Amino acid sequence: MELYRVEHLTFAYPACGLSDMQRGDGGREITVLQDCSFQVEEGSFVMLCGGTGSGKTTLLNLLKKELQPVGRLTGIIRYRDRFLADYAYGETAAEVGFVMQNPDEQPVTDKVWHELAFGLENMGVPSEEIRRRVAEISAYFGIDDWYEKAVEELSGGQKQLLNLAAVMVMRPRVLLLDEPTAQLDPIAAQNFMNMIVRLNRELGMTILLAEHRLEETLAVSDRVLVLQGGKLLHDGTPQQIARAIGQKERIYMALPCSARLCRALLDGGEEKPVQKTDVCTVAEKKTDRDTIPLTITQGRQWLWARYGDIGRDDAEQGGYPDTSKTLSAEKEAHASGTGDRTQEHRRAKPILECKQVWFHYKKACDILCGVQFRMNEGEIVSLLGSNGSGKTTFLHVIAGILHASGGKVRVGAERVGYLPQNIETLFVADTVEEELRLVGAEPSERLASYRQVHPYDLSGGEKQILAWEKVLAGKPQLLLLDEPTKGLDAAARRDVGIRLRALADEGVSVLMVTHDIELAAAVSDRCGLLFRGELLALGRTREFFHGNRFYTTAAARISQNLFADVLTAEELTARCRMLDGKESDRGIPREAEDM
Amino acid sequence: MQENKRLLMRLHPITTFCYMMAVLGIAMFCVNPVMQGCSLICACIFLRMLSERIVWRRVPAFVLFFAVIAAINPLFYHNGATVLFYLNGNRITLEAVRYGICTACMFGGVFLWCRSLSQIFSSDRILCLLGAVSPKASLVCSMTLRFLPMYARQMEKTKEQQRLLGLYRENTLIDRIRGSMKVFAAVTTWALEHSMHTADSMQARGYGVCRRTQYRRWRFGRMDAALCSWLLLLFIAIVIEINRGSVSMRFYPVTDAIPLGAESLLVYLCYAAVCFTLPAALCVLRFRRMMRERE
Repeated sequence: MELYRVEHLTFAYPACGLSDMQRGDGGREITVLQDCSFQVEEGSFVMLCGGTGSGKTTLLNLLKKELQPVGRLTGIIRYRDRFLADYAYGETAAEVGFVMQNPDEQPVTDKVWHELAFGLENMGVPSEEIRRRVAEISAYFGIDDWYEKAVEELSGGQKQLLNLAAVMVMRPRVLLLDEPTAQLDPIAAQNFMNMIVRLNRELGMTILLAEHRLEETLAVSDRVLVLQGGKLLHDGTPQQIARAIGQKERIYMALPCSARLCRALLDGGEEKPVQKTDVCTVAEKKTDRDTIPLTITQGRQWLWARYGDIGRDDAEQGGYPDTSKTLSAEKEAHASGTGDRTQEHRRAKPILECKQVWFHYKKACDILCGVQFRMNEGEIVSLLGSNGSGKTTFLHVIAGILHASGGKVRVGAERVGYLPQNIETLFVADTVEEELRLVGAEPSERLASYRQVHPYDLSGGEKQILAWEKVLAGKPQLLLLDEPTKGLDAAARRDVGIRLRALADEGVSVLMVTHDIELAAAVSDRCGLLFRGELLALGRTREFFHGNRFYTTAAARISQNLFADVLTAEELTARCRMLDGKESDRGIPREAEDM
Repeated sequence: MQENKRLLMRLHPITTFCYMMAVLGIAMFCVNPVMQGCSLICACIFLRMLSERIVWRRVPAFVLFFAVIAAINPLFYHNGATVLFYLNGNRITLEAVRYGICTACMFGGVFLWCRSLSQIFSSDRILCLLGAVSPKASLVCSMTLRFLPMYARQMEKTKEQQRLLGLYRENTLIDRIRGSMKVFAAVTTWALEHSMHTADSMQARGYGVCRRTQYRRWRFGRMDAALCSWLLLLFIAIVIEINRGSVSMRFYPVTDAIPLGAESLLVYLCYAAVCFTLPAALCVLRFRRMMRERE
């Protein structure tokens, strides 16, 4: 059955308080969605992807009567064969469930059990029935253990699960989720996604999920809608989408590593013009190409089928699991590029030295246990680790927010910049201009059109830019970053990487703690793992990731046991291209070998 | 002990509330040494049943508190027929001392009762009681309890952040006040922004669509009914007797003898029964559990 039918949906917000630059043609409103048409079948898992500011949130809000924003709407939205506009207010409140992006914003009440009951109370369900349904949902979600707790005590992942449960308890027919995992750490995010998949598979729940990270989610969905700049660019199965997205499109970066690798090798360097894809047009093209791998496993199979025999000796020569040999492979790899810089740092003077740093809060157990750490000027160091491993605490101790309860921290830099996880804590002024003037800077070109805008009214990406400008205004010599890519889409994450490299070239030292393995692998000179307050396995990036089997980049996992020294998707692509080149030199055609 | 606390938490908030009102209400309005003593002793026992161990460090402070309250009355109130001695030309009378000790017993008892009852009265139980009177007020309180810690955390983080940026770290008082004002304004903006999202979340979940029901987490079971009617019965009996004056005492100018007639003895007995209701209920619950385990 068709649950939603959207035809030629166009939506525009009234513009007020924004500068002229931002306005559309009329100068009165900002068009967010343009001529979107799609259907959602009951029981399907539809993913809505697109970069920040592509109109995902607006589209989702429009699909829920109670959350429809104020603005000019043209086109048709039908829900279960009736116009959405014809439904009475609140009629679909229980039927259409909505989960917001920020896990902190959705809870209304102070206790977990009360939060679960809140929606049912609103619907006027009698107390005995509420008791039953709440019990049922807590059992299904496994939240009995923290049923009595205050919402404030929960971790981000638990909060988001609670938000989902609080919506599910109202027995919706469809779930709308607005980037629900963007603010979570990878394990919590995976946990949450598993729950969504489970709801879809076990209960036949219709899911409409807005997401900008496709690495783990693309393969589980039935259908993908790609939004860009308010236009629905593609609509098809994950396979079709993986094939159809052009390499120049913003969303291309978000595709899973396997898919990007496959695309890069199949398409070669050529660029296809960006075009609107429909299900039928993609289907025609399907015949002349292989299936594109979407998951790590598929990627591995694809890669083995292609390079299985050549690659293996390569891996054996490189001695992948053997660390001593990896070192030699690494030396080779570092003959040019980042390796040189690491050598330089050996001679450079230290900008940060931590000797046996211990930390604990009053009467609580130790959070940092004798961290030994030294960092040189112009180095980029990433610290990875799970939640509660003391990452943020370590940064706080270095920044001087907290005082080490034992050991010595010596900071060689006069000016230290600190970018917090929650960037809104940076903003205290009423406009962007004032905000930067506080630290003696002027808005750059990218923010020029937002001079008079309140920082909270900026979009996620623009907030990030403002935060960076405010922190960098002090010309820090040592920059401490706490999860710099949290909630950012793939393109913005790449921008962060580029920015960090540029800073390092200027001689700024960067110490960041992050869950973003891909970023750490791409930009850092050294990486370390914080585990229960101890700093383990601190070493050069390549060494570090080659020592890990689970905690490593997607490209490394795909090429495990095949290529020895591959870390990023780009390296993997280059490696494959090189092999392809070798073969053609030898004059063995690919097809012949396969036979 | 945790175990005891958990058992008591199973009771309906109304039962605990009735208990509290009966014990404290009578203790606070009836100045009678027997009843005050009873209240004090029972409060000690109850507190001991609920807490892990006796915190001996706190005992001297409590004794001091008791002594100060007992001393205040004779120091400031000089009526009474029997003069013990003169202090700075003021009479210190036996009656005033007696009355002081009586009030000290009352304050001490109430203090200890509050300590132990606060352990079983969690915020959600208070909200449940409030909800019975006004569901809206209960919801608003619950939302406030959710919001305040979050606000405090955001405030703390923003302050740290601004200090790190090198702003507002001057030591002059005016600068510090100005900095705090700025942070306060910023966090308030954040709070308003946040409340918009909360409003969205409420609407999305159907707030205001129809008349709300209230989810009652606790069942009013047989045990609750029995305890409540028992407490109510005793309470009414005691109040009637107090009104008839069977336990009232005059302290000035000459202290009456402690009333020990049949009726008065009955009232003492009733009050002791009220005080020991929950400790006894606890014993019964534990005993039942023990029996079940043995089976």
